[in-house]
Amino acid sequence: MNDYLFQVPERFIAALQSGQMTRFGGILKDNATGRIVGHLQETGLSNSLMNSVMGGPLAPVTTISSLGANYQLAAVTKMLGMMQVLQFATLGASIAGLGVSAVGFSILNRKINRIGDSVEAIHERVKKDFRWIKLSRMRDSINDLRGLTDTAEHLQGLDRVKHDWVKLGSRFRERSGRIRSELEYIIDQPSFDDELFKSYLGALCVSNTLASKCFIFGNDYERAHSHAELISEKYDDLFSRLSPRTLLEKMGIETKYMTQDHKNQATEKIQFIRDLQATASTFPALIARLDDAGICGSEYLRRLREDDTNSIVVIDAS
Amino acid sequence: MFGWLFPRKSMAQDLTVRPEEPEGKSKSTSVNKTQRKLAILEWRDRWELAVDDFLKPHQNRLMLEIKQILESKSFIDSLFRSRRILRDDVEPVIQTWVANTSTDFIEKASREALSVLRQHGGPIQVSNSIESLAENRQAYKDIADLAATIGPAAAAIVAIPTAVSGSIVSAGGLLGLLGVTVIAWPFAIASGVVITFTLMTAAFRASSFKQRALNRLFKKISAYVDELTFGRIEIASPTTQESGGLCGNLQRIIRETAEAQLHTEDTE
Repeated sequence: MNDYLFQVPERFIAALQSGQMTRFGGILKDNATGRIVGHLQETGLSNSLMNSVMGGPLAPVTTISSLGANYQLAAVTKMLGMMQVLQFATLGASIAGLGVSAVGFSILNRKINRIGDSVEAIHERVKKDFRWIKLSRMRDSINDLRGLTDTAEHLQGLDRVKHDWVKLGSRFRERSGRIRSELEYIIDQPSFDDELFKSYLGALCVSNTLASKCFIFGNDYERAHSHAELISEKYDDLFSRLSPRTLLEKMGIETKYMTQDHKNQATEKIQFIRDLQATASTFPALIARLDDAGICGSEYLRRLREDDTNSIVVIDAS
Repeated sequence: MFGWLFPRKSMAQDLTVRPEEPEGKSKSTSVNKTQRKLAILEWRDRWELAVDDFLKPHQNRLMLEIKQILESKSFIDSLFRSRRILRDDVEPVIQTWVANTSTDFIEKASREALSVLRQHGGPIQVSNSIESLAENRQAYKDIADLAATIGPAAAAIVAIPTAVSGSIVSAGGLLGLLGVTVIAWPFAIASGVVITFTLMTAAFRASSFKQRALNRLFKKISAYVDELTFGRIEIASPTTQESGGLCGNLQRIIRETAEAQLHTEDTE
């Protein structure tokens, strides 16, 4: 069964282009039956391309901000073509993670450090502000995440540590809950701090990614599935209340004075968030599929990380 | 080609086995539901933002109509009967404009909502018949005429129960919510118009030149309409008891409609 579990997305191009199939979040769906045909899964290649040559998660799919070596150009062109076929408007889903994150713990740790730096900078700036206490708490959470990710890196080199992975996953999940509460507070404020929002959102995504990775490493698909369902539900609660209009109003722009530029920018931000919601909502189905197929979690992640040919693969749903 | 997956190793053997779900079906259903919810959110996001672009040209046309009305008035009327002009000529035009503009907007938004819901299947809380909206549209016009002849307060009393029975019962859910809110607006604003305009007219009586008086009157009306459309002149909604300008109310209708449909999705 494992021999034909994975497919390259090219196989589905014709069906996607004819409208027989559509992509929603991280899945491909048959439009006639509504059934899931395949699950999209990013590989290590997509992440390295994203980090090294592209303009970040909010860049349009057609944008390449800088190009490195020729082999990268070919890979990037192929990946962008694929993302266009898959009807991605922005590269947002890369942050949400198409499938289980193929990024190594050390790279995730660097992401946490960047978020930490950004929180630190805001913390310095708002020293006398009421947000200072909130930010102090956030700094603690970020430091916690750093420590836990170090532990994860250490565990990766050891054998038969299922219990430790599960324990670590639970701790990441707990941190994610705290960060979510902080993010909820920020969203519900009458004014919108874009910088703060991005930092907290980044921290939330990374902590959820880490929790899922740990559960998968530990082969605990039951916990991974329950965590994936929780993320989906909470993202729904948290982000459905945001709209481009509320965002602009929180930024002090009244409807009458909203320009097309304002609207486009706010719509782009919300589109990114909806991508997050969509990919989060399809994640539990992927976990269930991996479980059904009896796949070894650590091996799955290792192979994804090492794949340097395909940026995205498709897991057959049948 | 990708035969690199290994079966789960022995360390997974002590895992509690999750209860089996019917293959494909329940996963697809849950994903379809989320897809519908996100489609509703997308509809809400788009239409909330579209309100001002929709209202601006309509507002321009209204002001053009009002300008023509004012220019058709005689020297005596413009100098000494501005209050009557406002009451008999301008106020009904504004009332009808509010009703028609709201209905136009809601009709377009409703059509798209129905199309989105049909496209994604699942429960549709709204009536499948868009024609019921067209019937209500006629009702708005009849009631607006009534308001012009027998006065706003009396018309409001007549109109609100009509709106409730006419919209909720015939259209139900989505369209009902839209209809009820819109239908009461012309009457709710009417008394406000009279009070505001009464104060305004005092200033104009002393003016000695027709054009100057009309220009000033037009400017005041323009400011009023602007405030009514985008500002904070209160247009009461009988469904929520909240208030706000026309733009704010239309945005609220879109929001409430989306919330109602999302609630239906959650409880299905």
